[in-house]
Amino acid sequence: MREVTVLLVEDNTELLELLMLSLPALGPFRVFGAPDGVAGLMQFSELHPDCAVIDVRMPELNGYQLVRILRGDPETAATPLIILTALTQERDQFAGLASGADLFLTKPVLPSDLAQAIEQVMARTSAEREDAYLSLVEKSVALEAQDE
Amino acid sequence: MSSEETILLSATLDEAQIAQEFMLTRRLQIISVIARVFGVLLSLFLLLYVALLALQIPGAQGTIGWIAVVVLIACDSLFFMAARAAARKRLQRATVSLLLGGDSASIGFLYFWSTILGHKGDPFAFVQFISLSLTIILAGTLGTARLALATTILMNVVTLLFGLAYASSELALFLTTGILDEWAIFTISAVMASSYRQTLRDVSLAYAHSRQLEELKERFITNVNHELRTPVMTVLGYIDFLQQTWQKLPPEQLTRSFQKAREVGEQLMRLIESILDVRRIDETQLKNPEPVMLRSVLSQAWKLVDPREARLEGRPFSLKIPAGLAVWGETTRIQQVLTNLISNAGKYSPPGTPIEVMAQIVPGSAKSKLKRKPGEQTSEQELVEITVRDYGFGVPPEQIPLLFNRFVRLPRDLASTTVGNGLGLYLCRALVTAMQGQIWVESTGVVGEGSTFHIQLPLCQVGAVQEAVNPRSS
Repeated sequence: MREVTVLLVEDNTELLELLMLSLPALGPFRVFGAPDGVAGLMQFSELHPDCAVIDVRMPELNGYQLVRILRGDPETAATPLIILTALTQERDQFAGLASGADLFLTKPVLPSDLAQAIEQVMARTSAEREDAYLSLVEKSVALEAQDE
Repeated sequence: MSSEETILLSATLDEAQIAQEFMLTRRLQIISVIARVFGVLLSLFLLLYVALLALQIPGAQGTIGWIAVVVLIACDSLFFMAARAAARKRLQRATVSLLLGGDSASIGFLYFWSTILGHKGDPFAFVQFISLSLTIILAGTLGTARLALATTILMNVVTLLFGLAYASSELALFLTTGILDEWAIFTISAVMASSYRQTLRDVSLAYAHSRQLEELKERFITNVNHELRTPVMTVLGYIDFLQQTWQKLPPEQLTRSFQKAREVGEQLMRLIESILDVRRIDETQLKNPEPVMLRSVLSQAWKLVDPREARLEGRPFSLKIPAGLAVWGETTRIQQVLTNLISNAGKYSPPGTPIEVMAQIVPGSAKSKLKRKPGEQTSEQELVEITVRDYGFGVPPEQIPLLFNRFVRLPRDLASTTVGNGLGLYLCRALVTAMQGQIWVESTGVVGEGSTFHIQLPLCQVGAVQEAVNPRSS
């Protein structure tokens, strides 16, 4: 199986340490870590990872901003991105997916589940990703109409 | 009945009780004011009328006049009885007395008008005359008490002119009854309007407070939810990882993983404890203070500060605590307060900047409510002031009053990743207050000038410390 390079952007050092230790033991992952959004962006441009797992509340540059920057750059726009956050409200989830992330995971997530989620987003085709984004837009329009 | 229904039902009952108590207080206030003013007005009229009777001035009719005096004295007594009942919170008695007094006085005045003042056969003139007061009610209802007052004075002038034109023979009594009625109406109108405004103010303030509290709770829950999820994920993550890989992990990695899981678990426990402490501390008052040596409690407190959370590495520390300095309090509480303040000093200042902790004896202020401890030989005015100073972001002066409240985190901190649950300083204040002390903060809000937290606790003299350490057998 091909080795997958994963970049973890997470400001909680304990969690970052755990994921950097556990993911390589749970699958064909080569894992790198960044403690904040700016470091994450710099590492991303150096490493060109196959997938990134990004926290939301981080100093300097938050997770949504990082996802938007990565999606706005043609070189990185196609990389699968997962948001992993402790924010639980529906509007947070919507903001995460609307910023362009492929998957929104709410903590706590077991390392084995995260490994599966990475494999799942890696297996998605570009057509599937586009469909997911369109259905999100439709859902948003429906919700707005309902509110009105 | 399900537990949810029981809770809902009890909430409804509480609301009904609160509303009932609120209305009772308000009605008693209204009755109290109206009854007193009516009593005073009627007393003034009675004095004037008795004087006219005694001087046998035309218009004041002999025997009938004296019967009227008795009736009006009875009415006056009812007004004062109503005021007294209101002061004793007997609503029913107060209401009945006021209404009885008011009704009797109104009937008495009508009788007075038609019989004594010689308007027999023309009681309607009295009603016409009463209608002058309608404008006062209108002014009181629609405007302010000041507008009602101005309208009353205007109506007094109208009554005066009317009296001068048509009632010259009984001028004094005519004017007195007319003006008396207008002031009575003014009282009712002004009290009702003021009570209505007071109610609106109370209700709107209560609503604003409850919304603010709801918002704070909402923010607190969101924040605690966020703070709990990451350590929970880390602990569960280590368990999951160890469960799946323990057989193939090298022993040192196995040990380290267990150790990390335990550390994060303990961190999680401390967070939960700080949340639970709030409820516990609300109910606790310190009954038996003990001498607490500041140097040793500070060194214990220092060990409990999480060095990574407070970013203590590489910081210059300045500790100025005289040897043997002691306060009256409880070791664990003082330790908890100091741990919290030092941790905050680290969290809210850039790495590498200094943290200073000082303690000195200060004279107690008149405002201080510190109590002398049993067996204390020293002056009750002497206190120990402990200060914890950092050179960090500071606290904007307008946000200082919020700082020691429950669930409060400054907007700046909510937007940052600094860990906090909005309870630390609330706990500090509760703990210090429980030890008869006080806590406050000074900050300009200028980044780099930081904050200085002050705690004052009762000084414990060395003799008292030795006494506590080696009590003499009696």
